[in-house]
Amino acid sequence: MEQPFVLTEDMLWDYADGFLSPEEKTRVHEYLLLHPEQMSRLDAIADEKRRFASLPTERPNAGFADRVMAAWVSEQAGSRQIVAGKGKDWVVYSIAAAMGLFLLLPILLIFISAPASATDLIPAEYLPQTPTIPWTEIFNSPVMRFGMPLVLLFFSFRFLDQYLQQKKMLAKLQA
Amino acid sequence: MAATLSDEILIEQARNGRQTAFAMLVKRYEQYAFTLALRFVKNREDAHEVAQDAFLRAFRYLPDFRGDAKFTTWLYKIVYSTSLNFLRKQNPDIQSIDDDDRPVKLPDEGTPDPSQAMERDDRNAALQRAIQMLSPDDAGIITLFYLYEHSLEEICQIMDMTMTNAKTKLCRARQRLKGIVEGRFSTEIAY
Repeated sequence: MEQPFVLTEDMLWDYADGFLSPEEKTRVHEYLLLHPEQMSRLDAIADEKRRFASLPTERPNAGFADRVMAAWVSEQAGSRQIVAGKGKDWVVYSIAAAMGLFLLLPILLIFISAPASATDLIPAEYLPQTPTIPWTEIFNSPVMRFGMPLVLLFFSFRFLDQYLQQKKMLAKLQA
Repeated sequence: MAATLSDEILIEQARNGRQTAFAMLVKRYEQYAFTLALRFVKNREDAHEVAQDAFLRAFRYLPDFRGDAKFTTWLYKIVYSTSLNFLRKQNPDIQSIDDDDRPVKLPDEGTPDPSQAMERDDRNAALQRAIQMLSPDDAGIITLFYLYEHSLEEICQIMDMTMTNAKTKLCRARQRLKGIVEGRFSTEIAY
């Protein structure tokens, strides 16, 4: 025996909200046509939905948008400083790379200026006159002995300073 | 002029770094974002903090906004997750703001009689207060569906839940709201 159809409050809300399947929707619709006195329940729900929709939104305190924008601008400025800091880092890295190349250059020159292995087969007059580089004098000079450690020390401090500045900025932003 | 600019245009301009476009988006949605935050965190001061954080997060991730969903759906999703993070910070045990198993929080007997306070409020204010008494999730889903008129699909995206779950939750939220209104605000609101 088929159960009699009972139109519950939730079913009516689902009908009004459009949540029912096409079959359920048809069933409710037919029921309402047969029982017009039930339409008042649906009207009440429609009123309730209108009341919800007409509820005003809450206003934030005056100047809220300005505060958001101020925070955003400040965040952007912080990011720019970090990016600028990173830019400076690249300059420092480039200088360090140039210094490294400068140090490696003498070794490279040794290979370039090294005599060929088969020199005994070439007459002496055709052999190129290889320049002699006074390496011992260069490495023992005060510039190389004291200057290079000083340069390395300077760049070490520079890197450390950059690192600490970035760390401080990140801590500020996170706060 | 500002009112005629669509969200899409403002988003595009904001992506290109125009501060005024950001400001217009904040102005346009500040009340909606704030109201939603208030529904979740239940406190004006906290809601200001959450809404501001949500806008900042939205701007930060604006380049990732692909426009698959409406801007409001995307923004409210951020408001929801920011509220959840805020509530988690306050109570690390909280896993979600889903209050299905908890009873509705009604004001305790020690607080002034709500009916007296309501005498000077209109019907809307009473309904607002009734919504405020719901759990964060219930208040949020009622606000999104009936006030902001978002579809159930959009609510699923915002609150990260399944369609069935959202439907059930909305139905329960409505029942709880009815319970509060009938119990507390029956003189102000004829349900």
